[in-house]
Amino acid sequence: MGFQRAHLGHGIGLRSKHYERFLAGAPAVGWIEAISENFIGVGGRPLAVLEKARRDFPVVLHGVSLSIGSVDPLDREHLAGLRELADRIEPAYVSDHLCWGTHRGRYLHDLLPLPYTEEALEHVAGRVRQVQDALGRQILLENVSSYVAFRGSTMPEWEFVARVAERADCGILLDINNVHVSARNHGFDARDYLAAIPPDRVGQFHLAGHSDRGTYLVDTHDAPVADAVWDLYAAAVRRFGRVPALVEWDDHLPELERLIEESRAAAAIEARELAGREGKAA
Amino acid sequence: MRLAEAQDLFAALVTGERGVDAVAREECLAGDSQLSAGERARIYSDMYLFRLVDALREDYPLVARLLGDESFFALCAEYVRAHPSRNASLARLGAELPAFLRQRPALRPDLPDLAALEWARAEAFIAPDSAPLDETALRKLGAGAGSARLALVHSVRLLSLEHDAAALWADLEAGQDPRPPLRRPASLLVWRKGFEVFHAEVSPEELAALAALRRGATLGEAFEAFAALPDAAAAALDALASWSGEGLIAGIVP
Repeated sequence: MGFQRAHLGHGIGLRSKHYERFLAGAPAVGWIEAISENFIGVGGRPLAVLEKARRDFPVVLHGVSLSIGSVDPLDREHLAGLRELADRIEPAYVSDHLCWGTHRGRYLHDLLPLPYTEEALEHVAGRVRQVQDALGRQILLENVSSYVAFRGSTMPEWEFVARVAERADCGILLDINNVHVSARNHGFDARDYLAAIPPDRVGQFHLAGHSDRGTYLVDTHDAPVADAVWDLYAAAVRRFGRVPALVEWDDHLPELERLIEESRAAAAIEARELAGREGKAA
Repeated sequence: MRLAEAQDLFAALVTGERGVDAVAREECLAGDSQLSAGERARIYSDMYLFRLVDALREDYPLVARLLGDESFFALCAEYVRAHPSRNASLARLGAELPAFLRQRPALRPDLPDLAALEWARAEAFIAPDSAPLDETALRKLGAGAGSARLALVHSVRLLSLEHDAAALWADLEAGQDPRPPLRRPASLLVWRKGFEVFHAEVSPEELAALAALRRGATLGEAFEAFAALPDAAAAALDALASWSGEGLIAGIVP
């Protein structure tokens, strides 16, 4: 079937600290990404903000609880809620993470890494197809930051990501910061990762800040995008071209203007790299 | 190791609730010269509790303030062991905290009631929207009003408490020192109007009438809650006018 990339430009995450701003006007952002779970079965101010935002911008629904890699059964009630929300909001994309986060009916509310094995690959791809059937649309899966690796893995993460997307016929949300964080934590080259991801499957980028704990990096979303991640983003633009990119910031969230600045910085890098690419092609 | 076994082992490491044999851990997870497998797993187990406690703090800011960081963290750690999250949304995690607090000795006897009020307010804030019924629709019922069944808006929460939790809530919300616990029955109504959440103390009769409506009773049956009052009819009509004025009635059930 293949995957169709949307053209959205540069966006930011919708966070409750900025709700009033989105209610009062239409801040200068290209699009917004809303955390799906915060809006499923919900009314009041949160839903009013999302409804207003969808009138002003393209919206992407980004989930954190799909638990696509868990051996638990899929949470059908959650999926039904997500379908209802997506039908109402008509997002440009619905995305979640290539990880697991439920165990024996319990939500761990974390993005836990998978062993990269043929068994996990088959398992995840089958579940993505079920989710896409339930939602009536393709989804995008995001690579997560990880701090540990399974001895049983038989392939590198990038091969796993690429093969899941092909096998399940879904899109990839390539989180540039997560590639950088995991590269440092596991000692691989982030450029090898980018080189193995099929460009025609990449629908979106994430950019975010992380924390350096000395012996490892943590994906904390509490700081500006690091220089090394901007460099990797530039490399990603050279490989994948014009891809909608979003700046995530959760903890120590600054004023909206600072977030918009970060998003504009991303747009400037994209423009510079695309101009360079066209220059070379000419 | 099969996927299911790997997830069993990793979940045990993350939650820290079941001991994991170090040999089994090393067989499953890889470490290196920078960080051992155990240290890597600990990054996840540390974040697990912090994330859940942060979510609970969002819904229980005043309970957290009253207890202080350390006691609140300890309480939440015990709570999530007893009530693991069963919902995709962290906003549902705290549903059982008031009941959990009632089953254990608390710092203050009014803590469970304060928690119940905070939870009701948190639920009301995000409850699904429902448009309040136009007052004229109620008037049009006329003589048939007694047999009508009224639906309440989704945000309505009814609380029968053992302490004056509203006064404690007001002290903490205003940043003042909390007054000593005052044991007395209190009937609280919580609702959302527009985007704003309100709570108000009502008579036990009014709370009972609203509870009856919610159970599907007719207006006439609900008004029986006021029967023992000296001017039952006036009290009932006052209550109905107030429900309508505050937008608590969503519709007339056909």
